Amino acid sequence: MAIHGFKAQWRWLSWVLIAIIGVAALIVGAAGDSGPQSDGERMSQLASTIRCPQCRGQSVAESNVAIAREIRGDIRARISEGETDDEIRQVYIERYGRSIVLNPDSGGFTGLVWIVPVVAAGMATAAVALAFRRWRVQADSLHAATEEDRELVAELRRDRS
Amino acid sequence: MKNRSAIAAGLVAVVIAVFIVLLATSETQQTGSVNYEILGDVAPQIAGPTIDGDQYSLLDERGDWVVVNFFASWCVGCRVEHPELVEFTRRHQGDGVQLVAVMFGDTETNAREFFNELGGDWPALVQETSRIAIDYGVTAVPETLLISPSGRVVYKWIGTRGVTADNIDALITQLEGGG
Repeated sequence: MAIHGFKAQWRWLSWVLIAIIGVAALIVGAAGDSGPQSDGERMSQLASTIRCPQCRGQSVAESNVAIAREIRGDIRARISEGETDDEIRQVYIERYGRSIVLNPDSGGFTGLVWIVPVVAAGMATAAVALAFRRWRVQADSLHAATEEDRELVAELRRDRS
Repeated sequence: MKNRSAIAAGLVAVVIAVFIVLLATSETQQTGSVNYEILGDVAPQIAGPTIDGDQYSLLDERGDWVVVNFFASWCVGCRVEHPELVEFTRRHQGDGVQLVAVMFGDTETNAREFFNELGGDWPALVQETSRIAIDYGVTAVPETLLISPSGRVVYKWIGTRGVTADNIDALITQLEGGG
């Protein structure tokens, strides 16, 4: 009984440990590279999120067509003029439409693209956890002896003796 | 048990339906050089030194029809349409219809050679023109826009198709007539 309790505690502890490691990894991943960036790094990062208007599925960072070169130069100039990343992105959205940005919006209806997979994954995990618990309860109830079983065994013993 | 299965199936169906609606209603990724976002907008300012050393400002042309042509010396289409632009400017001397050229993705030296070779005496901006091209949503050259006397972008030609002196004149006549 004590061993069973220790095992159950250890199982919960391992789940908590996994959760802590997962959250820590997410925090480190999200904030790990948030230190001060050079203008060149900002330019490269921004350019990788702007679609080349003349190309098929390439960012302006990847393409070498004239408009991609012009936009890269313009991003560099706007950064040196002190514009923020959001302001620079907004300029291209106004000139070329929302599809110029490669990342979907994080707000509004399009924001569901980010939210729905997380919610779906959470629901799936919860469903699997519930299913496992139900199967274990069913399995335990199969192995546990009922009153009828005990009476049957007692009867057989009486018959033998 | 059956209820639970039905609820789970319903939830999966809702998630799939949300994705389908999302994909069906989201803006399609545009490919190729088609961008008409600027039509109807107030024309962004065009200002700077011209190939002849003069200072140009689009604001000075308010009240006139202005054709803005984005070009490059390496652009075959620009060479093809250039004689039409020469003809267009020959027809419009001091009659309230202007043409201005803006270099795109090229060097000042190449742009000068381009005009020396093919002719044309309209103002051509050849220094730091990237910002102007982006303000006009240019994706590739040649691109030509028509700006109304009130200062709005009313038409855009992408490529050489339709860029003839006759077509531009016909469009201006049509728009002047309110057609």
